[in-house]
Amino acid sequence: MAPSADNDAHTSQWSLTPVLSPEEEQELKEYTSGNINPPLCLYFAAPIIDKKQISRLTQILSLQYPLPDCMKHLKRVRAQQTRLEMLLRPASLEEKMTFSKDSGADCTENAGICRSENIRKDDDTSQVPSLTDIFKDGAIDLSGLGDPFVVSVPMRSARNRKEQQVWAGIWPSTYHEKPKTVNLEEASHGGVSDEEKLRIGAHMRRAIEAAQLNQARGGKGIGAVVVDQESGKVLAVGTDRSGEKRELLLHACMVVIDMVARQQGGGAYECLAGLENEQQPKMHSVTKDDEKQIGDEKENRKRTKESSEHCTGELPYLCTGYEVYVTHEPCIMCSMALLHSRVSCVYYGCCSPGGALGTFYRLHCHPGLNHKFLVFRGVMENECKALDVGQEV
Amino acid sequence: MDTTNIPEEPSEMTEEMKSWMEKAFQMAQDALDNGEVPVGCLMVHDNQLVGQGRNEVNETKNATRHAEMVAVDQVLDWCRKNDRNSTQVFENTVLYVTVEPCIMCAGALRLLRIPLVVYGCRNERFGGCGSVLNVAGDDISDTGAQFKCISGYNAQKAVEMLKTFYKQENPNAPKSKVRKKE
Ligand SMILES: [Zn+2]
Ligand SMILES: [Zn+2]
Repeated sequence: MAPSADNDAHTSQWSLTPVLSPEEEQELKEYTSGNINPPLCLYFAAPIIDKKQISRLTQILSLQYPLPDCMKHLKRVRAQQTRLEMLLRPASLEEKMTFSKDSGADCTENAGICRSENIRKDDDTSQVPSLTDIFKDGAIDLSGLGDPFVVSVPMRSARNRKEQQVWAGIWPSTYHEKPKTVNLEEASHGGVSDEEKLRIGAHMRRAIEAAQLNQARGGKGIGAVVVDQESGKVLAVGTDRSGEKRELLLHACMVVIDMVARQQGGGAYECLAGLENEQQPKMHSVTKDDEKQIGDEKENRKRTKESSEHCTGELPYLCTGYEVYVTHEPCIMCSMALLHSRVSCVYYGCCSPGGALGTFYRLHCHPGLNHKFLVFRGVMENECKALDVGQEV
Repeated sequence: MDTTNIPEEPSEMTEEMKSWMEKAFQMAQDALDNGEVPVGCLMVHDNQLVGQGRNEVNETKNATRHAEMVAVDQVLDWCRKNDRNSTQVFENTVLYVTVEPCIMCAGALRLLRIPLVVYGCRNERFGGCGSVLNVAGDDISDTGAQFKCISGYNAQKAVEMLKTFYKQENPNAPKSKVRKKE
């Protein structure tokens, strides 16, 4: 659907905020402020006196003292101004205790204090075990290595480019850019492109219009819209019906989930039969072409779902690839219903006190659950707030 | 689940509760025998069965149609037929279910102000009564009322039924395949 002109006025009045996990939130905060504090841990290292031994030493160490999986980002050798240095092995807990006792707060982990020089002073070497102590478990030919020292290294890989720059100043590390759920660069500058914002706003406008209509009829004034991400087609527009005695659980999200199921030949709530058309606001009248397209699409999806069901016996998770726009942050029941339905992304307007996508829980990024989805809040927030409910969504 | 550590019979269970749980297990067994998700679920009001449900996700193509949600709709129908106030009925109804309700169902039970849920085994993947989240006991604003749980009755049997179901359901499933709920 093409965004209409009356949306333009509204795009400047709201901002799209990603609802992140606590870890992502911290990452974004550090990213935006530039104040990145890498978690550090202590390793033994030693200068390489005889460069001819490098490959032999590297080989032996990676066999007998391989870097743990979580430390694979570290390079084994680094070049300092005057010499090469090699990581040997992590300091054990007891060994760490000895350093912190002997040297005061000089080289505490996680504090990043060692960052500037990152080499212990020569007179400290008395506290560092000798090479033979460090490798007392294995018979290793240590020729080529100088006196060992202790060094702080980042204990996880960098999550973004800015972190990687900080990491590089501590110990050389490899960095693989992972596909991000949220674009940090965008998020730190207050959101998505204007075009995308128009698209999101236009869909939310439909949810708001449906909510207004519902409110005028005595409903709670909460609306939801389901959109197929790929085709951009609006698949369902629904409103809360939980005010009705017989439909206590039919919050807006539960309604649209069932409307989508109904379109795929399923559906559980008889009261929603034939509702799809009624809910379509008049201004978005569906043309014959649209109808045909929707019909074709339905057929196509039905066919692919059916065949995939046949092959794998897998559940038809019918909301895979769908976006949900809802005026108010969903409650815990609705949030889990969206998760069970495997939606890809949820946009909501204003927060709810018991909301489960950011306010009370962050269900969409809960580490114990097997499906994660993106959530953005703040979409046309004022218009959604004006619906003024104060009830669970 | 640690099979060496069979939970003790919950002490708060009355004989009446045990007999309702036995009925729920019978339902689960029937479901299993018919190739359906082996979860049995009953809603009891005033010592009377007012709703029961089984998972209807496949038929309805609606991933929210868990046994509990289906049972809730039966109670609503019962209220209509008997001209009873559904809000009052739910506030005095006990749910018996062989597996811990998921997060969504726990949310629904809160909204309906169901006071007590008696269940068999934990739901490690989606459980909303303590296994993944404690929707039952958390102090959530605007989300109905907290409810009490009595768990562990015949837990081992409930787990075995689920294991049997998933084994027979899809012998050639790829390792990464997402399993059905509960
Ligand atoms: Zn809700
Ligand atoms: Zn459930």
